[in-house]
Amino acid sequence: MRASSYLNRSSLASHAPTFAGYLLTLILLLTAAIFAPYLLSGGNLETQLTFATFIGLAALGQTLVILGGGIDLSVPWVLAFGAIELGNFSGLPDVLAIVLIVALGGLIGLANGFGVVELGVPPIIMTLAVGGVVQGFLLEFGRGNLYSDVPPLVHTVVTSSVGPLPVAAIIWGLLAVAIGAVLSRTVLGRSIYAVGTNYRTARLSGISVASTRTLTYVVSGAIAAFDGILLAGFLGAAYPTIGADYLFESIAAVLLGGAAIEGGRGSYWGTIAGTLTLILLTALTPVLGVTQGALKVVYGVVILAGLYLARGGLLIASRGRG
Amino acid sequence: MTPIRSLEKRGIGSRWLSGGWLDSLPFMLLVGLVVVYVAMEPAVLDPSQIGLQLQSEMPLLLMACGECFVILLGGVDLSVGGICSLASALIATHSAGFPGGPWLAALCIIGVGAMAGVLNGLLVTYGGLVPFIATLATWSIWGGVALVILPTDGGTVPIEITDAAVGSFAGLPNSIWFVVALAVAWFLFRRTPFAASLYAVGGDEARARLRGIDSNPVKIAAFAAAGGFAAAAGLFLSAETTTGLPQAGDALILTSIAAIVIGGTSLSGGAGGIGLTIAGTLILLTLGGVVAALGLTPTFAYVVSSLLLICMVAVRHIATRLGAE
Repeated sequence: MRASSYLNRSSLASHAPTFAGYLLTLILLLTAAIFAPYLLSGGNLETQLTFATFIGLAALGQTLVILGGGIDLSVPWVLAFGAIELGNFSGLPDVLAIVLIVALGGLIGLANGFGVVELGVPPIIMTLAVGGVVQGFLLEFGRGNLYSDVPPLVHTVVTSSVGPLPVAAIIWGLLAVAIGAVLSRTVLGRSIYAVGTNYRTARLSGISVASTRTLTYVVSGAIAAFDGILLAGFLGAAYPTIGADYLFESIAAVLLGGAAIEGGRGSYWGTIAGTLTLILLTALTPVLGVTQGALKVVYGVVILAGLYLARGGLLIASRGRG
Repeated sequence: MTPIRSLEKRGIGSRWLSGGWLDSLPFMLLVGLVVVYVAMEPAVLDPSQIGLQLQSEMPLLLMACGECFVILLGGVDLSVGGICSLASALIATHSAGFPGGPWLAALCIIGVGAMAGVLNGLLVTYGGLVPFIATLATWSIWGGVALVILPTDGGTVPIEITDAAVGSFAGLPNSIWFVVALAVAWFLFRRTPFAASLYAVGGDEARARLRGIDSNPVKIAAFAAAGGFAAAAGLFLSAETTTGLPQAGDALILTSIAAIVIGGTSLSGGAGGIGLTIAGTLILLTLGGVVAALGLTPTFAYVVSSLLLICMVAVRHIATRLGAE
């Protein structure tokens, strides 16, 4: 991002929701620093960053799909698929097993994309049904309810740290920079925004709408499967409902980051802010002495507040332009 | 519009491609499934068996009927899961010693659900939020409130309410009467001016406005209906299990949308209804029965119904496209 583009007011307007997302994160960070400074120190910070990675990666694919005008409800089951299948490929070298599982995740995403693009099934329905098929597959052909055969090497790598940073968070950082660059600097990135804004206009301007939309689902599936591998590696075990929380959290992170659910507006930088907001809220819960139920209430209220904050930012920025 | 145009162009023959048979597809499928199911398991024709099966499906059916109002407007309501859980938690904790008895308590809980729906409606209309987002937030809020009221499964449900859910009347199980009552109520509702407004706003909001229909009250009422039905689903769930289930609603949200879509109601609004939704729910029920009769596990039924969901929507899309060409 060049400095001049920040001075450009129309650009400021389009970034306002993202800034609002970071404002919310900053408020929570200050709250944490004042009321529970130990949350931000040493081991605690590492744990929070690792859990942020799991939400952040699930939300990465979700961001792409939402920017392209869709939604991916199959995330929790593809994530569980990645986590559980890791043990089934124990005959292979770990790296090969991981590549294979990520590719299979991409294939599930391809099924989503095919249904949405070629069969004309609404994204909510297609990804719900594909998630249902994956869920049924995991339960029908699974080997039980708890899988503790996570390869030791994967467990060691995911739970180790380089300096103050957990390996998982470093992987997240690298993927975030890559996706951020793809979205803001490449033809593909611009195509995704164009397709999400108005796919008819995008088609008229020569963008391959079908393959762009399909690709967002493929990436979402692949990343969700990879996320499952990391999560199973971190926990040292997997179970069929391991991804259950990530449906709500991945969508919430995207929304808190200021993206429009209709597509075409938002960025992965915003989603990162949304992810950190969710993680800080969860970390603050025991400190403030509230229960699991109260946390869900707070989640809902914060989403509504975040939406209006983003809208307020948008209004102020566009008023400045006039 | 497309079917009519192609009918003019190609004559009656193209009706088969342009949608006439599509409307009856769910019913043909249901009849086919029922025939197969009865052939495999003749014992299920016993009224008490039918009653038991319908009873197990009743929470889903109630939730789907409510959700259908919002989907007819082209929206979606995710908060029904939270409202259902909230109703279940409330009846299990607050009905004992409620002034006015358990029935008034149940009525109040349905009122609470409807008010939660009104809040959704206000967020969507005057708050300017997309239904998916607004109800994602309120789903979390009501699901959280349910857990605050009742942190784990438990509590007690008044015996009168359980009796009404699992009992029988005039020789037939109550659950059969409930389904009949829903169908009759929908048949009558369909003839009210409000139903006409609902379909008009769902079909084309701008045109409905031009015809002088204020769309905001219609939307708020549809969300209120979804909330009320979701609360009824939670009450039924508690009644048949005789306990409070503060997280049970979540599993029903997406299944209820699946039942609606399998029945043939369009997600883009303006077409379909509760009659089709009852058919969709019964399709899911008999499909599960057939799969079980084949000796397969319930998880396999989940795979089959997911594939059926894709097929039903894809067949419509492809037939409409062929009809349009």
